[in-house]
Amino acid sequence: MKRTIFSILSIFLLSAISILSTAQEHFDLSGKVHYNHFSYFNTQQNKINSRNEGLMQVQLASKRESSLQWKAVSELREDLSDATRNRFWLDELWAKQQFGSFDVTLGKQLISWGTADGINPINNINPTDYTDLLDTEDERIGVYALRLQWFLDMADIDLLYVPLASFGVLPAPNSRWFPSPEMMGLLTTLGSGIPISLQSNAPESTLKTGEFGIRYRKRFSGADIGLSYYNGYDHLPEFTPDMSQFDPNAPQLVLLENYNRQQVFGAEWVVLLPWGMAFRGESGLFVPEENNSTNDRYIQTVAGIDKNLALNNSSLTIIAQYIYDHNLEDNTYEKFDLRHLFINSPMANIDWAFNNGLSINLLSIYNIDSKDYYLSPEIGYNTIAGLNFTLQTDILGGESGTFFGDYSYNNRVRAKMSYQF
Amino acid sequence: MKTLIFLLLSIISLAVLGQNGSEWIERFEKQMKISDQEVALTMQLVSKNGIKRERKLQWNTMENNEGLESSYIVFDAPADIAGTAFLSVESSNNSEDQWLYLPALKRSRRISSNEKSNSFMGSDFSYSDIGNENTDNSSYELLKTVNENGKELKVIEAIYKEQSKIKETGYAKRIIYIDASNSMMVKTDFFDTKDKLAKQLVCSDFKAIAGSNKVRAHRYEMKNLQKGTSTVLLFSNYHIDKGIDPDIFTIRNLEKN
Repeated sequence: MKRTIFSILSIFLLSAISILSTAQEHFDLSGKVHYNHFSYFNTQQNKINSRNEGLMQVQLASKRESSLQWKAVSELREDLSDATRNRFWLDELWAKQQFGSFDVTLGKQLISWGTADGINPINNINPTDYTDLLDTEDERIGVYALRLQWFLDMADIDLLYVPLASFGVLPAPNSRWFPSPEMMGLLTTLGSGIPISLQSNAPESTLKTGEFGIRYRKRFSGADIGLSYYNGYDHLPEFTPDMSQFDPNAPQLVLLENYNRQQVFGAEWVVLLPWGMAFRGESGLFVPEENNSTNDRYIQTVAGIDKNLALNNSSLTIIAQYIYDHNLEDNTYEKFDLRHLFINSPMANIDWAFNNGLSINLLSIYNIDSKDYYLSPEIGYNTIAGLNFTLQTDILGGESGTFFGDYSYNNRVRAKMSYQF
Repeated sequence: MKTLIFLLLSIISLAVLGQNGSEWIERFEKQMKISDQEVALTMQLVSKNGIKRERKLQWNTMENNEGLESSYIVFDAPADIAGTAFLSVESSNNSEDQWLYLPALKRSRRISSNEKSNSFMGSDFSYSDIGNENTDNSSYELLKTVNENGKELKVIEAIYKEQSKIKETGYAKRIIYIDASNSMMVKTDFFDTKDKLAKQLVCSDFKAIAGSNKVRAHRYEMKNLQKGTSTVLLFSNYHIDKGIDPDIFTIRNLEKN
């Protein structure tokens, strides 16, 4: 039934693209179509050992020169093996109007704060779809927000209000990415093989659960700095077992997803250095509300140096960053806690793109304290016709009891074909 | 005595020719001098095997009252880089502030200004090739006058005065051909630091720009003779000195979408 609905939606979207493409003098139509194949090296019983996934994103946007800006982006994703990955939703649907030096944006939006690469402690407005933890596409979920931006000569102020909080999407309990109770620090006498079910305990979205944030950026010659404040939910839940629902005749562990409210005080910077290098980073002080079930107060900092070399017929970008998580409460972090995956961790990304369409990329992260790591080499080729082919592997490793070590059975190869229009 | 007079006349005429070299470059620079410009550009990157890849972009430039230049570039094609935008603002301390907007990240990113010898967008042009000629940096000598395709061309040798400029641009010298009829550059040979011919630029399809007293080449072809690659720049929809909106050269505009 679901497959039929997705097929109908696909046909609908394709028909819409075809009709809309005839009226492009009024707006811009663009989008992308992806086909992904994943094969896991380590096959497991009752788990998905390979999967094929299609994705189509269609974007309609106002012309750049029009005074009223608007954008609508919808996304259809279907996984032939894992139905929990299927979705059809609006990524964005907003309108923006200029009033002198002010911009007012209303609607479903994706907001990007911060200056670091890949990991942004101060970018907390949008929740994320975590159904595949290594999916490197932008998996953030749009939120309905009112945004007011005030542009000064060399500075700007960004005010955001999200009236109805929304939360992240987690891997289903039968997913390869769902952690075992041991990984979540929930080792019980019930045994590790016990079935698990998740139950959302998210607060009801009312105006009382609204979120807000403010960001100030200042530009100097050779440097940008910024300060920010976010008051809203941590969109990642904290799991607590609900033993009141435990039935000894049909044992099942029910985990409640509790969402805590927090404040994040942020700072960000970019300083240009000699020899064409830049020092960029950001730092967030996370302060939970007093009535939360935990007191997870910490500072997360991501800072590093990058350099781009515009060579003849190719472009080489090298990014070296350090991720540091400073625990202010001497809490013990659980291995699966996605907030604290990187405590003391160097990260490097090398990207080399050639004019002939070939590209090579290597991403690596190493946790110094726990000695586990993630490596992702990738090779891609862009054809003249606009088709892109990518072959990528995800290699996770480390000792048992570490995050990447425990997930090393998820090492995989990924082949992707995409087309953008 | 006759020999002495001949030598003196030769020296004087060489000196006059040398002066004329600077004058022709200044005339060319006067032609190129604008306060603002809006143009569409198709960039064709041609590999050694003749495979052609195309990029399309809109390019806006503006010079303020202090003579400082700002540029705003937005890519229209191919689809995987469409919407990528680049902002460069020259500041009074002779440096440039540059940001890149990447639509996939929905964020602008401050970047280091490129070294002059670096490739311009992966093409065979370097940043120094596309920049304005600064007549203070080089000495110009008129070598000769030639006739090519019915045009009278002034052949000028340009040599950077300081070693640092040679290092920065990667060129020991350039031979510039100026069309005497309109003072426009039609060809330039670039010699590397070993004095070997490295690149050759040919400008063609000259047209007067409506609403201005300017003439512009609409086709630039740069051949990298050492690598066998070439880049063709095709310009269209020129708008010169129309009074471009300065708000285009702001972070606000860069992050518009």
